[in-house]
Amino acid sequence: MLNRYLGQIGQDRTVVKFLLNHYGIIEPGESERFTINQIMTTGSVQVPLPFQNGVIERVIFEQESVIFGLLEHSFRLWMFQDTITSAVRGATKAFTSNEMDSLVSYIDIRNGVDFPPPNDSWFWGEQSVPYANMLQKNVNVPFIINSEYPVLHIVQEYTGSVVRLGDSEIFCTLIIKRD
Amino acid sequence: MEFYTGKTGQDRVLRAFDFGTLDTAAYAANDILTSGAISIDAARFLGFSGVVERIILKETTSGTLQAPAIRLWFFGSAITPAARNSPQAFTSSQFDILVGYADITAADWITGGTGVAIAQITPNLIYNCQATSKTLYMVPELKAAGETFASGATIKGQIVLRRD
Repeated sequence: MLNRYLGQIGQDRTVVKFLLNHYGIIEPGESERFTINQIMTTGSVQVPLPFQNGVIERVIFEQESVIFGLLEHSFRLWMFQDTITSAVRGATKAFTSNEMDSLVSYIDIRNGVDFPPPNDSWFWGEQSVPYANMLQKNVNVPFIINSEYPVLHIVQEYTGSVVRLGDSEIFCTLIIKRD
Repeated sequence: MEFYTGKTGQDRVLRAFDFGTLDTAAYAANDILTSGAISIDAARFLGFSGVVERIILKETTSGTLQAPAIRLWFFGSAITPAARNSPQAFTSSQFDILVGYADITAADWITGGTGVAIAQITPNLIYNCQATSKTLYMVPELKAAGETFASGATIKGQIVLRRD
């Protein structure tokens, strides 16, 4: 009998997975390069959510590449209620005051810090093609999206000094507890 | 079944607030930042309780960002703090209704672009309004000396409350 009520009068959880980014190759042999505070995403990535209120409890990142040399890298994930038009891939972040009004939260992924032991933030997966690694982090991001069709608008900012990222995709999974 | 949320359990609300006009004269450490306390609709019924889960501050300016260290005092009923740009001087009776405080350090501030910065904290501050109040009253106190805000500079914010 109790099980009928879980997730109905109480809270439940759901999982949202999306493609956060596809790091490119500028030209053969040259990977896309980012320096500190540069925007990594093309504009803001729109992530529809199944509900308006809740808490993001955990994030998981997976990175896949067909070439060896995936790099552990530090970045900040900005989450907004509205579209962020100031975000230009490869340009230094320049959020406006109005855009900041819709800020939901930011999450820092710090290579060598988020997971002990240091420098082991990203865990390598199986050593086959495509190469893959992943990172998980518990977070606590309460959110309220003031829209009937709630969407998170996510911008990724590079927070290390400089990095070159080969042709690879990075996926993000959010584990969300619904109010 | 969503209509049960907040009736049989807790709910979560987002409130916006504004520190109002900031003094352009230099503040000293421990000065009150605003003119009066800032009221925040925080409880569903008189005397109810909840948790301050998240606070986001946003500073905007056409001058130099101050990114100030701030102590946010919360009271469970209305109080009248010291005047803006005057030393904090809470009375014994005011402290009787103190809910708690949350600190924002200078290091919490992150520049978002030219003339805009944000600070985000997760205080998880449990509160209980006074029996005659559904409102929290927030008083910001500067913790660092020499902060000088440009004319037109603002500090606004959002607060996420989980209400019982």
